Amino acid sequence: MNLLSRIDAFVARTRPWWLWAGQLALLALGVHLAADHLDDAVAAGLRALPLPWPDPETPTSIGTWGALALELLGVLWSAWALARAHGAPVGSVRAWGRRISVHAISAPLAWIPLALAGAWAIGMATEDAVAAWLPTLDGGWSTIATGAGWLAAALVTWRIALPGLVDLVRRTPEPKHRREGLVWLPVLVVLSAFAWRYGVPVWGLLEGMP
Amino acid sequence: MSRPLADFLSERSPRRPTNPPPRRRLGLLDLLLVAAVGLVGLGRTPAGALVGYVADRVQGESAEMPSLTTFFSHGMVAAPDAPVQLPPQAPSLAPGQLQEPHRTALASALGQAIPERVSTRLSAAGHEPTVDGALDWVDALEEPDPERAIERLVLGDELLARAVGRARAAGQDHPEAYQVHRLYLPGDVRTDADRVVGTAMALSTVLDLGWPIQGPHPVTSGFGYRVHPTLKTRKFHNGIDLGVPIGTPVVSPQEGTIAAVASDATSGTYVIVDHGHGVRTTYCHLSEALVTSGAKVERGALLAKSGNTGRSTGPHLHYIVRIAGDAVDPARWRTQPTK
Repeated sequence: MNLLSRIDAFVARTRPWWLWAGQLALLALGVHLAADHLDDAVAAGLRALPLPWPDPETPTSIGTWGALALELLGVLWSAWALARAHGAPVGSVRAWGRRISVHAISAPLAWIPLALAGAWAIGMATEDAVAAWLPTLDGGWSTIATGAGWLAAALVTWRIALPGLVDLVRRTPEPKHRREGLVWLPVLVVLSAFAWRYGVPVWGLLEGMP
Repeated sequence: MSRPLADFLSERSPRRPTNPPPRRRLGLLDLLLVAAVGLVGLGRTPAGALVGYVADRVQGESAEMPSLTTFFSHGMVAAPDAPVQLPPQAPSLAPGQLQEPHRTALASALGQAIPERVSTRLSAAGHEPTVDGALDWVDALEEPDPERAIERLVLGDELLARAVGRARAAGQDHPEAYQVHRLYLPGDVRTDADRVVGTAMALSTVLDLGWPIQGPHPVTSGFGYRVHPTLKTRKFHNGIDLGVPIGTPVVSPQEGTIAAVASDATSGTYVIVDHGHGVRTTYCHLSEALVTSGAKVERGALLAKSGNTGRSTGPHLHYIVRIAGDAVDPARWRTQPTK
């Protein structure tokens, strides 16, 4: 047990070397869940424009490629935001106020829905994987798979998403100017909106409430 | 409230060093989680596919560039190379059996390849893992909804319920529809389901299409490569031209939703109808559209009046049928009268 604790402590000390990879993959999953619903919306928006399309279905193709481009931009932003969140941590709201910028506000607001959507994607993958190993899915066995999925989503949120959010708030360094991050804002607004709408499994539950 | 958070909010000096000591526990758990998240991210996102491709190239392996758009819903169904024909005489089917055109469509979709999960299900139920065995299995369900019957064959009841539940939890409209809950299926299952459920439903939708023009009319230009009448270059003609006078009623060949009503210099005034399951029909060079975007239309509903707008050399209707975005020859798929 002592050996295991030592190994655990050693691995924990190396966390800064690899935790970012998990955070980036988590955001990539959340971004994809959002973008997977985005292509149709982009196509509908394009069709509303009075443009001479070479083919009436061209907006559909552009919608797919547009969603893909936006998704890849979202992953690039995630990598950029993670790479920046390594400054000295702030200790108070006042100190954080000195670091305020478009990025300082938009990054945590985008991180929350994208990371939650990513955690749900992990939860679904876990549920599917556990269900495949169970002897049968009758008689309550499927509850085990569902429980494992929610447990995985909760663990990923706690151990990967939350530290990333805290670092993003506390360790993003002082900006060169307040507009820093403005160029990413349209990408983040669109992806965050779709992540909230389609990547957070609460809306169905809320529909049943008075 | 924890002390660091209280310090942070109360604007007091932190009671601990500015650089907190690293967390010294749960390192193995975190590493396990990061590995799991990384693996899922690599396998299920376009960015992950790109990283995998670059990693293969760096290692000197001759990897093919992955198709990134297949991660999106429009890659769900492949148009078949040749049109599927309905049997000339409809077989006598009992009410509980899978009816035409879904029967022919499912047989065609499974005829290309029977997924392993379907073979396993058939064998477990004592059926031959063949197309006929699959049809017998589906008939035994006596499921009135053909889409649900085909889904049960491919997914099984539990996985189907799980996908519908996820779509419902996300607040999706119509979570029971395959096109909605397929986005919440595991990646490998989604591939099989698209190949069978998506393709079978798309084929049955196309096989059930009527014709947009009532009464006799000539086909003035067919589907495929031709010398363009105004551009004078060899171009692909993605539909067929029906020679009809300006003002001829254009009707919907099947129920659907109006996906677009618009006008441009090439197609003139046009209407696109989404019939579901990845099947869309388009009507170009219209003189007048009589529907609005988003409206539901029944089979035979009046959509528009034909015309001569856009890049056109004379009055005609340019009619396009698409399966999952790929144009197919409407004449070769013409099997049903509209009314």
